[in-house]
Amino acid sequence: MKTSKNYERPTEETPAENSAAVIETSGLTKAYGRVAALKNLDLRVERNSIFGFLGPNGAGKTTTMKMLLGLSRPTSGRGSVFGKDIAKEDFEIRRRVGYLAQDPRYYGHMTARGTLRFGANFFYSGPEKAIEKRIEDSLSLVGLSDRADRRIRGFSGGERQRLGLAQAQINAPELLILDEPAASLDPMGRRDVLEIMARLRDERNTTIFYSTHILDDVQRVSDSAAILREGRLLAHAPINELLSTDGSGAYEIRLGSTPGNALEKVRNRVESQTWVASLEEASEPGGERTWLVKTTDETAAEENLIRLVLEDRSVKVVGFGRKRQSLEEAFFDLVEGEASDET
Amino acid sequence: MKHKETPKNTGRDDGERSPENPEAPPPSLEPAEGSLNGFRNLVGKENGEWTSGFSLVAHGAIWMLIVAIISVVIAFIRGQMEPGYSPKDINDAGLLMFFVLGTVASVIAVVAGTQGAIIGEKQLGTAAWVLSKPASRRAFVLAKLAIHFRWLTTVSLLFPAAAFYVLMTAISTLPPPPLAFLGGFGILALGLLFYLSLSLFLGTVFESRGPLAGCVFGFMVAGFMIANYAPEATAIFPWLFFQTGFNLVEGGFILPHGIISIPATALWSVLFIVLAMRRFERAEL
Repeated sequence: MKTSKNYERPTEETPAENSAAVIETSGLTKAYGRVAALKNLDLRVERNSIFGFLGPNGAGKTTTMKMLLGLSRPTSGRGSVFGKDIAKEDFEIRRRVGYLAQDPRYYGHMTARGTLRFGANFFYSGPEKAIEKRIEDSLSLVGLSDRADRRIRGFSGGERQRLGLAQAQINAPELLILDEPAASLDPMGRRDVLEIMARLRDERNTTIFYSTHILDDVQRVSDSAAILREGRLLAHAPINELLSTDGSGAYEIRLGSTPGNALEKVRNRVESQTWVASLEEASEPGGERTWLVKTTDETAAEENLIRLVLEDRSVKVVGFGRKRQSLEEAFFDLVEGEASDET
Repeated sequence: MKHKETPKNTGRDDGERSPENPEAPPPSLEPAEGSLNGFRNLVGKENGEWTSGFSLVAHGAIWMLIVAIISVVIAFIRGQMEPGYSPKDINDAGLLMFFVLGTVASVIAVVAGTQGAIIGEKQLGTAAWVLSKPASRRAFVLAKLAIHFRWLTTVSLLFPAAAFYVLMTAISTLPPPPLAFLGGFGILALGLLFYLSLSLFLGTVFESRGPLAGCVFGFMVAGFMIANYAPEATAIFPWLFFQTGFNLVEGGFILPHGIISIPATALWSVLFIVLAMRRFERAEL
């Protein structure tokens, strides 16, 4: 992977700005009248990471992003970006941040190139050639070079979203805040956006803080994630932790096509073990089956479970492993679990 | 999507290397600075909005017709109907219409052209987009003031005034006194600035266009009514600017209430702009 020779780190950073965390909030709260949109949010986003910010509609994701950018003021609590106070130093923060709004809107009379030039001119006063070069690079990055001189009034939702990504990184920001960056994109567009995000992190050391409803995307590219519901933080952890087992010691066994009586015997044998709490079976296409075995003793399970199954030579095991939650399962467990706790 | 190597996040990189010395460091991007950062950029955007569509032509045609042509036609008809009218009488008839229609036109033009200037951008989300950049909020308001004033004055007053002056001279054979006419034009332009400032201020107060338009129109209409019953109250607002302008051109004088209302209107305009900037500085987007 090539790296630019003229790479320069921002200078004169204070220790707080040099901290590993790019975003830190403590007790961050936002209320609109009596309605609390965000309640005591404690968040930490590490430098050079992709951080997924998840939650149902109205969870407070956009509110948080707007407060980080100084577009909205906290009711209480505090937050910092690059160690700078979001309530007092928002102008300095915005110099180093790129932002893509949910459903981005631009000035319809401008072309894509004009929009990027308009955005770039807030950051740079010149030289013009270097600014134009930056614009070309940005258009190319999102695949809009061939539509650069078309008025954006006629752009599709996907094209607007790509333009949004291009304008968000026109200042080569250290932090990108993206509100639903893949929401209006088709599967290929989504894949491209995720690729761009990963490349910006890997090649440019950009930290990316983004919200989404698409849990698969978060699982694919994020290093960490937070789950928010009705303004409250439900979980905040590296993605691997969120995806690990739920603590019940569950194992997944995928079985190839196997005679029914042999399978029944093996099932009875497994279920008779004292350390087996339950066995759930699901049929898969092509005659395959999946067993989800929940255990009370992980050591015993790891030593004996697969041996028990393979004792019968007619049973074909095509997959075995510790059950990993998908992010979707983790998300629904947390969000619905929280909802049922409240009732 | 075609992909390219992404530039590093220095904020100062990726200029072009010269062909003679490919290893030479590229020219650095210079950061934009200043307490009104983005003002020039925003002025360019506002100008582009005025000049790229049909609004300039539409405004120009409508106000030319209403302010200049109708005034001249009325003066011409009066001259034809009254054979005893002197050239000055014809001029006076036309001038009175010009100042009345110019006043009304400038208010309607302000409402039509600026009711969505701030509210529309808040609703669409373009204000949040612009201000997510290192753009000054004061620059955002001042750029709107500067460019809307420029174009609204041009299309609703300047072009019609020039056309009116030429046509009136042609039909009456006596040119209105040029300096006094220029002064009258300045009074109308000050009135336009007042209503524009009020409109921008109200744009930071309301979240929809209806109340803004109602307030600005209502203020003008209420002024005409108040002038009939409490003329002294007109001294601190531009309600009788049409009369002040007319008196200046027709008789070369300004009544006392007119003399007070000119600086008072200027002060109100400044106050509305300061209030608009203060409110917008704290606006949640």
